[in-house]
Amino acid sequence: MSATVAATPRSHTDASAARASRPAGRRHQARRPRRRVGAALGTNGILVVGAAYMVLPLLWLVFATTKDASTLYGADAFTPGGSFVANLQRLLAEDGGIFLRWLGNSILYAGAGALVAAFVSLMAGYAFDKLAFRGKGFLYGTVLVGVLVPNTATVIPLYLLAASVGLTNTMWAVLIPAFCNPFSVYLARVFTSGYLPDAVLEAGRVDGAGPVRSFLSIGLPMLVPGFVTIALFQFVAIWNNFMLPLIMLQDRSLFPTSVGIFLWQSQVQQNPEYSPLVIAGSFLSVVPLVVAFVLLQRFWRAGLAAGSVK
Amino acid sequence: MSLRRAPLTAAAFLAAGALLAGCTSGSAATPAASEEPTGEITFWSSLSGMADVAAAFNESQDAVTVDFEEIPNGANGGYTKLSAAIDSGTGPDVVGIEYYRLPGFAASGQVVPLDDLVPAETLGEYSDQVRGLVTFADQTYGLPYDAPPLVMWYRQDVLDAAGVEVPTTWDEFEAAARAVRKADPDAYLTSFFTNEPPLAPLAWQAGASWFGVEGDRWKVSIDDDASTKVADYWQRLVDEDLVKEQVGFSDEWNADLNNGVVNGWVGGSWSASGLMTRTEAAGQQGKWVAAVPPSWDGEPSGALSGGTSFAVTKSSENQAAAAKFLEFLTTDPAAVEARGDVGTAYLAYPGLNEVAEKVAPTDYYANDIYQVFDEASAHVAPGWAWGPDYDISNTAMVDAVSGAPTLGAALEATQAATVDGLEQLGLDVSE
Amino acid sequence: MTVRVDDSPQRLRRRPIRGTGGRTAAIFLTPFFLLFIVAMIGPVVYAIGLSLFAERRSGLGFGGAEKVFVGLGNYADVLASETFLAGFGRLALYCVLYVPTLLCVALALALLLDATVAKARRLFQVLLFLPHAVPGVIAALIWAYLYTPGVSPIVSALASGGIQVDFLSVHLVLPSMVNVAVWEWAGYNVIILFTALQAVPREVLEAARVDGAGEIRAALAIKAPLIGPALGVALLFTIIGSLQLFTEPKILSTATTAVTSTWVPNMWAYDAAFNRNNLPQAAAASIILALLAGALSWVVSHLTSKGSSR
Repeated sequence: MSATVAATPRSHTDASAARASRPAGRRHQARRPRRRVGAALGTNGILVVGAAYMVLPLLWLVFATTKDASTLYGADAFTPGGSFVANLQRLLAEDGGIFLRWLGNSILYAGAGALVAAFVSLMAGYAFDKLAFRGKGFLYGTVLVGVLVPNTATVIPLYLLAASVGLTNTMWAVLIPAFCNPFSVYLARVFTSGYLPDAVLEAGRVDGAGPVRSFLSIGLPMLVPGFVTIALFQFVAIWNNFMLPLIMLQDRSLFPTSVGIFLWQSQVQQNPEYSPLVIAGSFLSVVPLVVAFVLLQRFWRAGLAAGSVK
Repeated sequence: MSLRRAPLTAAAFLAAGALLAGCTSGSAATPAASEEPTGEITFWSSLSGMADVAAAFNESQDAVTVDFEEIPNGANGGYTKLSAAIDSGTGPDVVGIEYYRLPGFAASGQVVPLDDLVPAETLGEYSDQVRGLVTFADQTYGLPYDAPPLVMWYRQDVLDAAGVEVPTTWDEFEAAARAVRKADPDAYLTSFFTNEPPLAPLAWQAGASWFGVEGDRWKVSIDDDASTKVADYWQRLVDEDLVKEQVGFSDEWNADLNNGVVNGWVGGSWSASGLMTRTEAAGQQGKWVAAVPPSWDGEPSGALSGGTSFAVTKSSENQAAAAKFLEFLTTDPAAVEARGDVGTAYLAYPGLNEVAEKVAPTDYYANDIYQVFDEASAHVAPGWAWGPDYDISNTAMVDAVSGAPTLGAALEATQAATVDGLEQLGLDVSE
Repeated sequence: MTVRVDDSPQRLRRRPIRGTGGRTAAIFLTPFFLLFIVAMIGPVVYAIGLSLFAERRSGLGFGGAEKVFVGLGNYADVLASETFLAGFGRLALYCVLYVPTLLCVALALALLLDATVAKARRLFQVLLFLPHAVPGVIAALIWAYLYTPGVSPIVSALASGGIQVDFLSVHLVLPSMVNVAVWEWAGYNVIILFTALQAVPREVLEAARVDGAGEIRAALAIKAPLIGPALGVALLFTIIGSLQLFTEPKILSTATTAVTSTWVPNMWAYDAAFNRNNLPQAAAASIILALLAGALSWVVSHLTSKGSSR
């Protein structure tokens, strides 16, 4: 199951209209070569500008990571300085190596959150798609309401509730909200309907498998791409989350990288020596995600394709 | 000029306290003085050099171990972090809180009274002025650390080149600002910080009193005549391009100090270390002098600019050990020596300034800065209090300085926001 | 659990698996809904409860506080607060600037990518998508540096051309923040729209070409309308996302005084809770924001879903 996902019909309702494998880009050639060169230059030129707009700030970050405090303010932005290794060493040694702790926390929260959220969402999405039960419409409606309410509007209520039971400043304060993502349930339902033909499940049932067993032994394996996609989306969402951990956590050994770097940034005014740390920390936070993105591209496309279905 | 009021601690709070039915945040039962406190305590501060002080304490005895953590200063969220930590039960045992924030923490019960933890003789050593800043409802909520006077810092060489003397009145200050601009069109005498506007100490120095007590009500008068006079004066200086408006402690300000664009600082005694670290690379040793603030009417008048006390929080499970460290921190000469030259302090406890002077970077300056500090402290205008929740005012003022058309309007906005904010807390306020 | 063999005749149309109703559904749905209650419904209910009370101090305020029932008093205070309303107006202005800009940029880039003459599509897609791999905190930090005179190559380039720009001044800080968000999210939406474009049936485009329509006309008049549903989804999620504005202003507030501590409603609620220690008021503000955001999202989703069904 690979690149064809991108070209598959978006949903069953469009099945009649959509045409699957049309190789992207190979179309009927235009008849006027001169106009075509101009169009090509214009089109690709704008795309280059767009790509440059996206990439140059990251390039700046890479170069800035090589500079120390004095060359950061004043020297040319896009020339390499000599302090790359020194900055990284300082980053990893600062405050007893707390940056690595922060990275570890981010990975823990995002990883555990993503895995549990994906599993829980898949179960729920499967139920919504394959099972019939009373109140299904109502329950799915509440899921959709959950999708429509912005994350940040519930952060302070979450804090208030957690504070009332004394759970703030623990990792559960960050993990439990991470496990719950209504949008993932929606995605899971789409994936289930796309990847899991009823016939296969029926066959399993005829063989005597109960619904739970058929889900675990038949459904899940077929849903692996969906699982990975949902998990990936949730991983990124949790890794990026800022307001929730900022509010919930006071102990800096529990911070994820987003909050940790913010803590350093808020000390830059008093102590300008924190600037290179902030930049080097930003660099190290960005690299793993960029690598993950490039390697796991197809799951992204699958997720976004599915997500654009209404 | 407001009437001379006795420090608010005395009659007013006593009367108010009698009217209050509720109980204050109780001080936990403390062990009898015969037991020597032991244990591990945590200590948070944003002041530089405190790690060394904690280390010195740990070395000097074995009973109590102090675990230090540096936190951002107030302008960068330090008190937000502290408040959230205390409320969630994970606050430190000992923490540094500036005078203007202490009433807020005391009123919310987040710091505990120290009257049972610290000997009365120690508390009695402080001047009334300073004690008034840490005593509320007849209880002491913090041990004063420093009592930094409002101090002006000037580049003597720039003043000389402009042909003016160190200003002794605000009229002379304005004339000096003009002369500096004339001598070098790129240079300013000083800058006005938009992120930490010094309107409170300047108003204090002009004789204003933003928070007063009338019976059991707070009287808020942030936009009174003295304060408005100060605001209008500085607004005029800004409008005529005699001072530069900028974000203090920023890279731009650093660069301006180094390049001679900004040649003065309306600061405090604590400015000495920071000024040195920011300007020594530009070879400005020996060029800076400290001076008492200019007077309005020929009579010397001063104010305190900032200042920190140390307190024990509600989260502390070992208040006796915390108090022991507290006393070391604020009254022991060894603490001053350990801090070294990173933070010039003008200390509140008697006798410590002789020690401080020896470790402070006084050589960097062209005059005897501690003598200036003494002079500036001698005439601090009495009667100032910070109100039960000054953070409301501070936030409003910082927002208004950027947003309102004039500093006078900013004061009015601050007044309105303060009265609203205090009323929303359920307090009765008169204006 | 009994297993019932389904021996009724197989039908071609989809239907749920019979005999696996309520109880099975309960097993599959419970984990998610349990989390949903704990992480979304519970906090909102608790916050509503908390928002009906207020802490009142008396006298000079040093005598402890008592909790009183104030009904809708907190809500009235929030809605009467000038800073809250100003922040709200600012957020509305931000949305008006941000949403059309983002969608136009994303649509334009997607259409350009889809053009016959575009080259190196995969590469462009990856490059355009890269900013999405950057956590919001880091993106805001990078741009904070890119807006700071003395560090920023942009500012110095403009200055050497004679243009003095202060991106962080009171007048420009809102568009500057829009720019950060566009940078972060344009690529994501480009991929969504581009994927949707792949499903545009070839016949329609061929017909247009036979009729003499040029590329640009075909793009705007035919392709764009045909990906209407995907545009609708992008619109909905962009609006939901823009209502969550917190991270970027919080980071930029460390770099400029033009961003106050109550610059947008989320920051206002944060300020109420953690600077002013007024938890009930923060709860009231959060509920107001959740209701308004939910209502807006619901309206938008209904407006955009008129073409597609689920």
